[in-house]
Amino acid sequence: MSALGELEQLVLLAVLRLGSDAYGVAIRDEIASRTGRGVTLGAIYKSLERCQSKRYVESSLGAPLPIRGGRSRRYYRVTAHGRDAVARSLRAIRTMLDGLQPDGLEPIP
Amino acid sequence: MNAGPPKLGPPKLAVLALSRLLHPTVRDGVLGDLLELWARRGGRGRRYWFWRESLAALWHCGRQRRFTVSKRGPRVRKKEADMIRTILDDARLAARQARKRPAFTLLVVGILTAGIAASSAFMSIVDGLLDDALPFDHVERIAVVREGHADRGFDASNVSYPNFRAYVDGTEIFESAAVLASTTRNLTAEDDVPARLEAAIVSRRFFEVFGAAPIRGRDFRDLTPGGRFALLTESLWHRRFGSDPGIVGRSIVLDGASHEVLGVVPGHALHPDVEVWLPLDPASPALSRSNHFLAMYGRLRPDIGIDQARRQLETVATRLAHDEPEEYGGWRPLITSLRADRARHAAPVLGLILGAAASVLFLTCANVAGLLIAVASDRGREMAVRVALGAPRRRLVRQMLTESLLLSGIAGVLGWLVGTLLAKVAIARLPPDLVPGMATFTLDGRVLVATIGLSMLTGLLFGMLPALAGTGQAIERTLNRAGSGGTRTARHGRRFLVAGQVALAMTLLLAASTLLLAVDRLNRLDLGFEPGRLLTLRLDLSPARYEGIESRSSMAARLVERVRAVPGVESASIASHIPHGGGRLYRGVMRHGDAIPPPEDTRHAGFNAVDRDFFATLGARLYAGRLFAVDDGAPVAVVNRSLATMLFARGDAVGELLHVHTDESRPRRIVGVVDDVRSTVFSSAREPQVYVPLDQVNWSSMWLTARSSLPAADLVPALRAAVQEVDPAQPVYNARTMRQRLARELSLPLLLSRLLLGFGLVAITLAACGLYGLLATDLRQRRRELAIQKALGADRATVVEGVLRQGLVPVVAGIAVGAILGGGVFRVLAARIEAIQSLGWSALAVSTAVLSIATAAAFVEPTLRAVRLAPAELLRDE
Repeated sequence: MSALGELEQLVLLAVLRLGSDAYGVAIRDEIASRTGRGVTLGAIYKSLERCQSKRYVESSLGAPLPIRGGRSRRYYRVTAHGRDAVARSLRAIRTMLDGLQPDGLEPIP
Repeated sequence: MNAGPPKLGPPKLAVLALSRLLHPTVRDGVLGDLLELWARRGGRGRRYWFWRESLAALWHCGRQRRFTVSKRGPRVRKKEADMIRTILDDARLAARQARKRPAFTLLVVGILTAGIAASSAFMSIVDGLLDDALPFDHVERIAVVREGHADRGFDASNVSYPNFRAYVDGTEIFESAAVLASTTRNLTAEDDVPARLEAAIVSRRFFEVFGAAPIRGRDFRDLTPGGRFALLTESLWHRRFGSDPGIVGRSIVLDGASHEVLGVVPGHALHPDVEVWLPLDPASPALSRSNHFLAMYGRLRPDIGIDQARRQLETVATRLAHDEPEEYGGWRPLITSLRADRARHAAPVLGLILGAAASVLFLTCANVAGLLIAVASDRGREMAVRVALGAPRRRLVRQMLTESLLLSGIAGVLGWLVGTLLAKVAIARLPPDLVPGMATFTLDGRVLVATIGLSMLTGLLFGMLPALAGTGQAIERTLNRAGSGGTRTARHGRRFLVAGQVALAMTLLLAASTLLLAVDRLNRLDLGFEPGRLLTLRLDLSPARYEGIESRSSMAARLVERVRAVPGVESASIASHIPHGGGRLYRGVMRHGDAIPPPEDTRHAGFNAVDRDFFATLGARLYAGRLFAVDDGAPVAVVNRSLATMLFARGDAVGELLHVHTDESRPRRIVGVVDDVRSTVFSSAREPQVYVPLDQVNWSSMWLTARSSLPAADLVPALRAAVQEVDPAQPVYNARTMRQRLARELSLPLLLSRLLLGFGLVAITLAACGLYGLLATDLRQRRRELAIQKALGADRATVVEGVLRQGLVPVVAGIAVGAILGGGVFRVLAARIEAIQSLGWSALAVSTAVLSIATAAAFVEPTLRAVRLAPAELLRDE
């Protein structure tokens, strides 16, 4: 069992949020619109690949689209194993936040 | 239905790279997503964005990322995978290092780019000069044959026709050989303005020698004697004949005679101006053994080398000298390959350019090496820690090499791009006929390969040095020293490099300032006449239409009269030659009453047939006697002062009688002496010159000169119109102001001086940067020592002296060495441009001053920093 990187976390959360519509562009948009962070597609795919090799996500191909030059979208879905990993990682963060003010990260007086 | 692609697609190269290099599992996903985003995005910066995304995708998801599957055995696979992973790791680490120090990275890449750009620009130019301009099949087998005569001072004369035949028939070295004579022809057509064309008369196998085939029709190879034939160059066929497909067999009128067009040939790189080719008539009486006027080319047989060819030709020469002692005695054939011949022509210029380029490249490397060494000594601690933790030294050296290779690789590509641009700009500014074929030059892959190679070599060489210096230190010592200042070797090495940079900068500055001063002086040179507001143009009277002196001089008189009536024209004149017009003619001269000297003792003088207004129009100065008058019935002449002093005691020539060689039996009375007019700006050697009245000699080429009260260039259309009015069938060409002619002559030294100045400025900037880097890092590394000194009570003067001592030695040594090197360059230049000779000391003074100021600037900041260093703070930190 290995810990999740930050980007992996963000990517997995985005896939969870998007449900059946999670493919590269949508994941990128989701992260950008919620966190304001511009991530390159390459970085996203690298995280997705890593998650897939740890069996946190699985993927399937959609129909070929003309706007994509006849290429298919690859849709991703978080596996049960993946959900566990996200939960574990978030739990760790919550535990660590305990006793700190959530916004300023100052100790609660 | 298909939505159709957007009008402007994403960068094709990026898409290709992605589809080839992405790992297959993500390829369609990434590429499809990118295309989708591309379609959604609009506006400017879209392409840049696409490239950035593509590079990021390749970086993260490139093919080599997962190198686990291989068809080969497991052992090999692991080794291979390890190796590639290490290289990639090294590269990634190097990239991270580069990102961590953006200022350093930018500096190194910037300096390297500048240096590589400059040198690759010059490689392009030189390459273009030497090779691209010779687009012939097996060019290495084409040779040029000339003839030399040591006693008469001909070191590379053209050959005569009987000698050409003897060289070809008496040896077995040529596959084919041919001769060429340049000439001009007037082309007339019923419905068009007549044109003056550059023409060449060539022997039958000329096109065979160069492996050139006609585009249409046939060339001269199977021509039988009889009839008049001509070949057209492609450009003329397009321009004048509208690419007429039925041109072969048509007849055209050249110099009033009808010629049948035999074919169309492509433009010839060695004679790019020639538009009409005429066959040489072997029976022509002009082809005597003593008439050396043919350029000879030969294609050597594949099994014959140039030395072998030379030996065979010399055998023929020995035989000829024995058989024809009168006419061949003293001559010898000289054969060189066409390539070597061109290199020789361009050698002085190219030598200077290459020298400057090499200097700048060396400066660049030295500078970067200095920076890398500085960084390496800074990183000595990091290296020592890694060695202590068990990193093999090999690995560390490789890491540092990878870093410098990465930087130089980026700089190589950037440098090539910038250099290509520079070369294009530079070539566009060169006069097109500086070296024939130059204008057609194109950049090719060889320069790219050479540039990248060069930059990689730079990276290797100078990555090696600091890598070894950085890792070779004893661990303990480095760890204990805690930043008390890099190794001695490193410091000495860098000081040496700075001295080298200063020396080279000094050399370049000397060359540049010498040339600049020279160009300035040449521009203000007393030419012996007034070059301002003078328009000159050429017309050649056709011998068929103007026969005899009478009809020509009356045509000239009518023309001058008509031109004088043009508004703005103050005076006008006709002459057979003008200064700086090119194509001078020399004739033997002797005093009346002297015995005719043997040919080798004959004195020669420039010959010019001029009308009465020539001197006034040019603004030449009368020194003694008078100029030509209307009633000069008897043969008269005006000479210049050089001729007067050459032939007559005390230069007292007025009233003396002079023989001008060839067909004149009667002597000419010298009526006046004029000041010398310079015919070239580069040499101050005075040329004897004789002027004779235009109506006393038979001469067909004419220069029309007009002095105007308006800007001279504005007059061209009016003068053309005037000529057409006098004779509608008379072509006019080569119309230029005198200032333009002079500028043309000066364009090469001017271009060179500007280039060298540019190089010189880059060089002093680099040298100053190098010096600054040396001082700044020295200071940083010695700050502990300095702080202790200060804490112990060293005063300001001592501190400043310490900094100066670090830098002054390499600077002074560099200037001294540079002055010596520059002296050598100066001597080379002075041998070519006489005006330079007295400029040595002023150039030296200017260069030393400029360099001193630049280097002094480099001292300011480190000195201030040393003075302001607060010892207490620094020592407390430690």
